[in-house]
Amino acid sequence: MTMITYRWECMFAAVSSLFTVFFAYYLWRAVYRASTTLSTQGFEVTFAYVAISVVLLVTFNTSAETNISRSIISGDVIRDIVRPLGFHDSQIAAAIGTMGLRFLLVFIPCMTVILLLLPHGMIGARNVWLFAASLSGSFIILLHIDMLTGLVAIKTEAVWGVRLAKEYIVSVFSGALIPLYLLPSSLSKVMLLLPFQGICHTPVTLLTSRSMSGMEMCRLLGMQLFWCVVLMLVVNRALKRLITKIEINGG
Amino acid sequence: MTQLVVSGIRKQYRQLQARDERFGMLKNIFSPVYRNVTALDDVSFSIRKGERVALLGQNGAGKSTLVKILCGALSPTTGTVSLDGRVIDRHSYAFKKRLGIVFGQRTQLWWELPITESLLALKTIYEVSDENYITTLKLFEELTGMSRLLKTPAKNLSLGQRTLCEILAACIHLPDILLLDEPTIGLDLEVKDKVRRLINHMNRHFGITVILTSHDTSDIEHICDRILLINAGRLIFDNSVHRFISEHGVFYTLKVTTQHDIDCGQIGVHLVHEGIVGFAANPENTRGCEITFDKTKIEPMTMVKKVGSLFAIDEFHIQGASLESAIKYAYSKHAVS
Repeated sequence: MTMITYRWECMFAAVSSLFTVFFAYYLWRAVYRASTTLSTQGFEVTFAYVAISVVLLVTFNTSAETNISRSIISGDVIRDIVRPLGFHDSQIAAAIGTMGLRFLLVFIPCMTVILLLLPHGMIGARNVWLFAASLSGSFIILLHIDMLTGLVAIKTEAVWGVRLAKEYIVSVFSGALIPLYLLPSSLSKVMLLLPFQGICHTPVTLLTSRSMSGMEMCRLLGMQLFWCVVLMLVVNRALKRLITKIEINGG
Repeated sequence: MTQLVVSGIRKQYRQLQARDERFGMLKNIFSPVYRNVTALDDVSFSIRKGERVALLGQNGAGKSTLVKILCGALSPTTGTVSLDGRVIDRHSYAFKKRLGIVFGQRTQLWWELPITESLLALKTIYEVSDENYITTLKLFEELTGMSRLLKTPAKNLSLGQRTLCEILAACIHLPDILLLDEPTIGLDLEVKDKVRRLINHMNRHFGITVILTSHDTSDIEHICDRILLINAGRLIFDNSVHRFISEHGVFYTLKVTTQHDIDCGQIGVHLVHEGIVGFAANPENTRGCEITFDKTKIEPMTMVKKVGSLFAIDEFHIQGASLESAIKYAYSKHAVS
């Protein structure tokens, strides 16, 4: 509901995402025209990979890190403590609300444009189902990385700086800046073990790869699920510890 | 029936201290120096259901810390809080649902949302029945006539309007205990009156226990029947408002009118010279005077005789101590001790 009040922010996010989609289209087309041996993946796959990754990052950006750190630094967290609600649960519920509106205003229009720019028949029905299944995992991973960032920001009291660093790390390690398959293989192997790949690489690979084996798909989804569970447990524990510390030391 | 029992509450904080030496700030990064601050020290009291209790104390006395402990936001270093005979579990939803809380300087409503949306969210969180929800909203309209505000976002309301909505939000689930931390801070007289009416109504009709901290004595006079006075973290008075005034209300006021012009300043000087603590002021004109005096140093009638010996009194009126003067006296007494 809060996001509806700031609907213009959402509209601007949609417009800038569309702009980024077109920018990615022309940029990667120019890159592929200049070098024909860039990758085994063709231009269409790389464009879809980058454009959809950007759209996912914008859609799932719920500002949870700012909300958490601001609420604790200002002392407004007492409102959440005295209510019969878990702090972690209420943060997830608020983020789902924000994401829902962004899904309508950013994800659907941008995805429509991207699909129109891609050749007909490139994406199969099975790919769409797998992509849809991996979206919730992508959202949960990004949300919990945001929450962890918020917790770090409380410690450092430098919310803006920590947030910028997080955004850079996420866009590089998730594959939104450069597709992971274009990186040196030793580097991409490490990146594929980290949680960030579950945000963009996993859903986009499941959407664009038609030749992927069932085993490989299960491995990707399993890895995403693993990181969802680990991050949720870590954040839940960290938030509980933080609230207990606030309760002991005072606001 | 005893509802809330606070036993031997003690709360200590660790506070970072500045080093009074060269490169002190730098040294504090690697080896910080802390001091222990005792915010509350061995505080014990009990409150009956439906009581209206004022928590009084100067800034930093420990009132807000006590409120935060009572609402479960802080844990005491030692001691317990029991509700209906059971030691509270601060994390239990059942406990949290029994409380309504208003922090005068902190909004509990969702800032961007219309009040109705916040109320509906709270209705779901506190599992309020439709019937109770509608009854409380009707009551709000009857007492404040401000239901039209409910469609406005909290951020667009004035402080007074928002405070009324805060109280409504805190009472939407008809809690057993309503904790109010300076609810009328910064409000005009009309809104203060509405706030007090709303709180009193909730107390009388639903038997909600009210625990209030305020620096406005009118709030206490209009709402509370009992005072807990906290000084430097210790509970130093726990009794009725009436008893508080009779124990601490030492400053009486003698109002006199005279047939001839008098110089109040001279009377003041004379009284101070005689060792009677007090001051004198002309209220409106020179044919009258108001003399405030310490009744423990001079009996009221002796004071009248003394003033009468200085000039011819036409009429006189002795006014007992006000709550405000009693509080001032209590603070000054304990500051000296």
